[in-house]
Amino acid sequence: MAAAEKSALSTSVDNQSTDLKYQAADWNGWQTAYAFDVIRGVKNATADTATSRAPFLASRAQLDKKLADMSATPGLPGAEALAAVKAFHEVDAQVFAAYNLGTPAGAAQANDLVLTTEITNHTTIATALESLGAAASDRAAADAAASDAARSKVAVLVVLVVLGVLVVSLLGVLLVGVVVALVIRSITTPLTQLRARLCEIADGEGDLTVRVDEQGNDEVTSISVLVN
Amino acid sequence: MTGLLRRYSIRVRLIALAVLPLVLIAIVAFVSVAGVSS
Repeated sequence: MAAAEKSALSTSVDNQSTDLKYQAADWNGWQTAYAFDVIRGVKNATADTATSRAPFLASRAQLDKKLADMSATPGLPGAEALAAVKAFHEVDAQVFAAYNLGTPAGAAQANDLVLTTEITNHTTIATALESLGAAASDRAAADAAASDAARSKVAVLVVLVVLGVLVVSLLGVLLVGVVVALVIRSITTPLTQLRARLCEIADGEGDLTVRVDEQGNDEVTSISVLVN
Repeated sequence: MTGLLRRYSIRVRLIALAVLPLVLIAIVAFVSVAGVSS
């Protein structure tokens, strides 16, 4: 996986764990609310449609959905958080049963569970999700830095390749220029000399004992041999 | 250098001149591909 993708994944883990933490706080809050309704003597406070119990159940359903969605992301929701959520569910079943006993002892037991065990469970969930989010945030920062470093490396490489191509092209153009000049000279110089010699002879003022240069093995040399 | 070139016919020299830019283009293309693939 590329550094940029890793960074995006870690950021997603960070965001999702924060979201789940807030959802767990909402869930815990509604549990305390419905417990408080029971203590206040609100009629049917433990019914699924009661003022505080209904949002508690809705919040719980939302939490379960988010947990299911998170299982697709590696590292989420984390074994510790998952175990604490499960424990919270189990203790809530005990709270529900104790309130429904309708006895002072049952209510006292339920109150105790809500105010101690469930708060502890919620703290465990929140702490686990916080450390998960913090670790993911650190990973995201490290991966983003690695991604930047990789991008810089690529940029340097591109500049080097472009420079290399430019230098090779420039040297090539120079080489071709030199070769072209030499080839032109190798053709025109002997032709010019031969023309000058033939002009002298044609004017009738030339020294017939002077010989034309016969160096080489090309077409001009053949003509020069014939002239000589 | 001119003396060396005159060992070859004008036709050979002109053909070499035509081929030289093609060799240059091939070298530049090789350097580009090698750089990009690295």
